[in-house]
Amino acid sequence: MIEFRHATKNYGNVVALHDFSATIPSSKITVLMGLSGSGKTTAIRMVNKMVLPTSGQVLIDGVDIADRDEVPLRRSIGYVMQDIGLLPHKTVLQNVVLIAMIAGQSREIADRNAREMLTLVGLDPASFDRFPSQLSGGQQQRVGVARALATKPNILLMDEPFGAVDPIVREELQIELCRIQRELSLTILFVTHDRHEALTIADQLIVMSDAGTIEQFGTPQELNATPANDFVRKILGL
Amino acid sequence: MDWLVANWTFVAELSLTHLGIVVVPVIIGSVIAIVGARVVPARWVPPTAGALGALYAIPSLALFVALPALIGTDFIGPTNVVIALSVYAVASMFFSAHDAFNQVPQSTKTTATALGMNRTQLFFHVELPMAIPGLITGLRVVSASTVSMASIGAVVGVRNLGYLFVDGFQRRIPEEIITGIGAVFVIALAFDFGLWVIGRALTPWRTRGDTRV
Repeated sequence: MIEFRHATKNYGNVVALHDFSATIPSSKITVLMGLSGSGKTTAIRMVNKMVLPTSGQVLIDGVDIADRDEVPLRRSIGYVMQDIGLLPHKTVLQNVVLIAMIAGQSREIADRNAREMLTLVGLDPASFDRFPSQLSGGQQQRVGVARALATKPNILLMDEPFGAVDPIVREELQIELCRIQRELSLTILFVTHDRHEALTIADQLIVMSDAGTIEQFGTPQELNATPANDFVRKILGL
Repeated sequence: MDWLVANWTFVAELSLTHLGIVVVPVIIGSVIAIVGARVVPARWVPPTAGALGALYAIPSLALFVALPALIGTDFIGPTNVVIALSVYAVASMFFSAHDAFNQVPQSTKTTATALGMNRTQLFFHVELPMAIPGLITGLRVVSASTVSMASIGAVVGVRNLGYLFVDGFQRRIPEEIITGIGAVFVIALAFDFGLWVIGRALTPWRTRGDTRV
């Protein structure tokens, strides 16, 4: 469970996130949906301390992460973003193994976990020894997900992960993500501005407007049936 | 050609010492420049690069002669030349190294950090390997200029291929001068080729190409 308590982030005079409070349930996919400037990326990056709150707190399973060292914290949380950021000089397998090994796994265990995760995300073993540049965008993002799972985290943060993938592959990836989430019982916090994507994958949906104002929080069915206001109606295309 | 045939052992010996006088400063200078490029804070980079650029404007002969007075090294022997060439190598390499590191995409560094790499791991697993193409380009420039500048050391009595110019000039033996130029050229080419090979070996992902599957 991830809790935001009055989380606020200012960059000088610019307010990126203002007084954001929300509870993200365990073992579910929670989607933060909003337009640019809604503070959704700021919020998700607070969870692994890539952004430190100006005020307020973020708690994981009841523990304020301000008290945790950032490097071990990050190793216990998966992270995927749109610019996948695979290392071009390492093969697919090496990319995943490396993240497992820096987290302290032995080469043998890291190798086994990496192969397991790459298979889980639906990658053909024939491509394990290829370089990322030899894969399609969709395949690269599968590697990105496998890499994020290399340390066997409970939490997976995804910041518009499928934004650069073409629509058909995107739908495939969304379906597979839901399968992986169920298999591993992951707590996923997923940022998107795409209403179709949000409604496809979300167990819980948080609709945000500027700087972290929550317009509505609920299941996709609830939001569809009883949208709180015009903003929610508009962003969901109702 | 007759001159070279008659003196080839001498030329080979000078080539070897020349090689030594080049390799050491290129290594020392590059390591300092690469570490410096990573350690100097961003806002100090322009003044540092400016100061190093100004250093480069000092004629090498002047620096060879001035070093003993400045830092108390011995007048005789290759130490002054090696130190001076290292200084030039830093000056020329610093900016290339800085550029090479700047070309590593921010998104790659961000994901690596977010997945739990600390600063050291980020440097060795991400920044350094990804900066290799730019670093190799910089090294090729440094090695070529060091090979040619080292020969000036002969004027202050350091025996290397430059000796062939000085001696050939004093004794009016054009073949000796031409041999010297040829040997310097061959060594510069060899360095360049060697660095190109190293660059290819360290960046296998660039040679395997984009053949998508």
